Amino acid sequence: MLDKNIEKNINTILNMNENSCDITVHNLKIKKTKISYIFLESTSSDDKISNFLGKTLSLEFRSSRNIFLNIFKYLKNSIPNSKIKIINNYDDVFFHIASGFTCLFVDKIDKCIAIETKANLDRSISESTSEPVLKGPKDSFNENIQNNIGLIRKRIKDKNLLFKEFNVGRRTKSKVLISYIKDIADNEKVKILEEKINSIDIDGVIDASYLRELVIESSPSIFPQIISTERPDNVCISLLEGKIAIMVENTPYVILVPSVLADFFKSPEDSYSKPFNASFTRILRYIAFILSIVTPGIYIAVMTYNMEVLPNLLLISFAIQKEGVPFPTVIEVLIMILSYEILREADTRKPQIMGASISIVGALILGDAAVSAGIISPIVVIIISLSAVAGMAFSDPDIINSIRTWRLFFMLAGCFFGLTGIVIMFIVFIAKLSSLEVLSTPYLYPLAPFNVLEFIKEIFRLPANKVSKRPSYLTKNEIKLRGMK
Amino acid sequence: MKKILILILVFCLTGCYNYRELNQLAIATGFAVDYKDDNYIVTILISNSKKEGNSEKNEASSVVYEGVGKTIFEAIKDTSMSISKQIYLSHIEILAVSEEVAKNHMLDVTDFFFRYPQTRNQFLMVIASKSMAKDLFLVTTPLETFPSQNIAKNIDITDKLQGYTYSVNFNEFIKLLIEEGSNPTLPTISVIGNVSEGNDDENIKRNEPNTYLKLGMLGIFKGSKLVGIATADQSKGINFLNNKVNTTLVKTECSNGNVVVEINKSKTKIDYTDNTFKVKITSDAAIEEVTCKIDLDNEETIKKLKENTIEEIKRLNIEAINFAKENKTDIFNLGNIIYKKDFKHWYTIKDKWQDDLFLNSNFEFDIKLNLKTKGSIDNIIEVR
Repeated sequence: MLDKNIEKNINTILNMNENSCDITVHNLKIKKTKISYIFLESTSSDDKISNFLGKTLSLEFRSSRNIFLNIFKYLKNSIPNSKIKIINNYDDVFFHIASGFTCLFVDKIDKCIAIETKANLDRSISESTSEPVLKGPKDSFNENIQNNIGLIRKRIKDKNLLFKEFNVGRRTKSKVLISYIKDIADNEKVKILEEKINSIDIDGVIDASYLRELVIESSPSIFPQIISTERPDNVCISLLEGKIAIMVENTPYVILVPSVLADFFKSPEDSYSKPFNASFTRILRYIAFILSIVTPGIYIAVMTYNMEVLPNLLLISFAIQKEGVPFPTVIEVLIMILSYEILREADTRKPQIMGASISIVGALILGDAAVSAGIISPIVVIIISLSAVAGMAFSDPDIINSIRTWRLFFMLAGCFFGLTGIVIMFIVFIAKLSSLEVLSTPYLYPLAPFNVLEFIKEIFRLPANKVSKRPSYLTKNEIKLRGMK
Repeated sequence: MKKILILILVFCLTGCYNYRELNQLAIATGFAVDYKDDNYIVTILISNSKKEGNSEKNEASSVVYEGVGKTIFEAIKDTSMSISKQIYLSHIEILAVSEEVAKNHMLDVTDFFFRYPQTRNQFLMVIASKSMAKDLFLVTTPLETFPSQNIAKNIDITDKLQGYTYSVNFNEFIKLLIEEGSNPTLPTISVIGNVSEGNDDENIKRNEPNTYLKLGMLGIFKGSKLVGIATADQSKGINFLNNKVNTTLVKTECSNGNVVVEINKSKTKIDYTDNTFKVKITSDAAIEEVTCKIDLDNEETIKKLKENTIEEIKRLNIEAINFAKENKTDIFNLGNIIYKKDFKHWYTIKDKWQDDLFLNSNFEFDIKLNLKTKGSIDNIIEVR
């Protein structure tokens, strides 16, 4: 609790942070009453402080008659700022200073006034970099949570769109919001989520991905069970379907729950292009997914166990390419996959300014030199690039990496057991996927448990005038998406 | 822990059964069987996957290896003594047998290939007439990479476009061999020219190859024994009666020239009642060539032409039947028709079918011809 003595208050706060260099205290006297205000230079804006405090305290205030009344009460009412809070304990004072408030103390009063003077430390709303679209809105979330809320509110002006705030993290005290439309989203799921967020006890939440492990993904799995997106339009589409959005302070993307595997095959672009074309690309993504996972495995199996499945001329052409290569097929494929993954990692981590040097060197070494040196056969280059390019059809790095892991499993199975192994590994793959669930939603939803209508809706993008119901796994409330006005 | 142990065991104890690398295999594309001095001579055509020098061109070529043995498997093992790789028989395209083998030892050959698990049973079979089966693989060919491929494609295309022979793959051959009341047929092929000249790259560098292969007519079997080789007309008749016609040409005479009609589509149905077979043939046809002066606009002429063509088809069929009767072999699978209709009756006549009843059976023909087009011109060319 704050003390009545102003000097003691100030000193305590300074000691709490051991006289940190950016903490600033101003003392002044008005009619013999000591007044002090305290703020962090790093998080507050000088302009705002002089605007709201300087003016009030200097001219108007001193000439006012009400000066003989209660100074505290007067200050509280006359400062022209919309965000003013009354605080009466030290921890809160520090929390507010850290979040960019300025705290005003008046002698002989055990409360203080916190005025918002936050400095703008955020970048402006910029174009989405990780989920670009050709048509459709281009804005994306940034690190400022108010901004992000604004971007959503701007699109959905419904009174039932709720944002519930939680403070998570013992030290970071990060703001976590869950957002949903009250009469659409499933209340059960909201309740479970709220309980889970409330029960988090952790030092800090720096980014939304911390919540993923703490709240949503309870069982260890390779595939990502949440969708994170930096596109507000994407979030709004999901909210209208009945999903719940989780937003975390200082995170430029939003998590959507519950998500199923089929969601990863959708792109915001789908909604903005013609249904037939969108369906085509969506089917293409499914094919790319399967190709990317199984091609190297099947190649190894066919080349070392089941060559009888190949047509005559293809087999002979493979044999010619394989001739003179000193390594077994498995090692060949592993060398290629390894060098491709290293190349990709290097390409992601290297600063942009270093240019395209890595890609050029990589393409030369992997594509051409290795083949003409006789270390690997040309067909392996084709197989690995097909698999890699197919994997790139997805924008979410999580799913690209999980595809990579399963690709390795399939290669192992193919290398030890041939096509039989591939089939068994596929069964394991499906079993593993279907055992996952997010907020009691099965991960393979329209496929298992099978629902014909939903399945068709997931595979093809139907025209908007044909879709009249929300996905049934998300909500039982207000099924109708489209009226018959 | 238990799970991890099981995983390790699964990979270590069972792994790699039947593992082989592609460059350890000698991929066979053709297989020829000859018989000489109580020994089988087996010739295997192997695709040569070695890259030549440092060249960028990955052109394939083939080599031939020969082995001798009392049985076919012994002969194959004898062959592998001279090959540095494991012989891989899954991808055989052609099984060629000499006339001698087709006459007396076909059962041994079929037993081996039917029993051998590696082979695919989809390869085509062919009889080498007038030469060793081995010679077929020795003749280089300008149009295809492998001799085996050349033979297989030749048989296929003839089946589709000519109507003299039809392709028989190993499965069909076996089926005809073991089915009730049927006998197989196989196409023949012969080497035109000198084999030793053909066994040289010079042969394919010439504009007119000295030596090449040419398909002959159908060889007919009685059981597993080759009993005769048909003439061109008889081959066509066999095609008609076995419902194997895709395209064929039928030539009829007119005043002092010929009219050639091409059959595009043909269906044959054979029905059996009281030792009489009703053969119903429905064909679509087109006029391809006219070398005599007739008026094609006249309905009477067209009618006449149709009648003549039907007569000609009938003649081809009867020639084929007579040829089969001469050799006492039912290559039209008529016995099977009886068997399917009334198997109890079949078992009573089975023993005397080919030697007696088949020879005395009668045939009735009901041929329908749809003359669809006269070609790009309506009538003949008249020089004024």
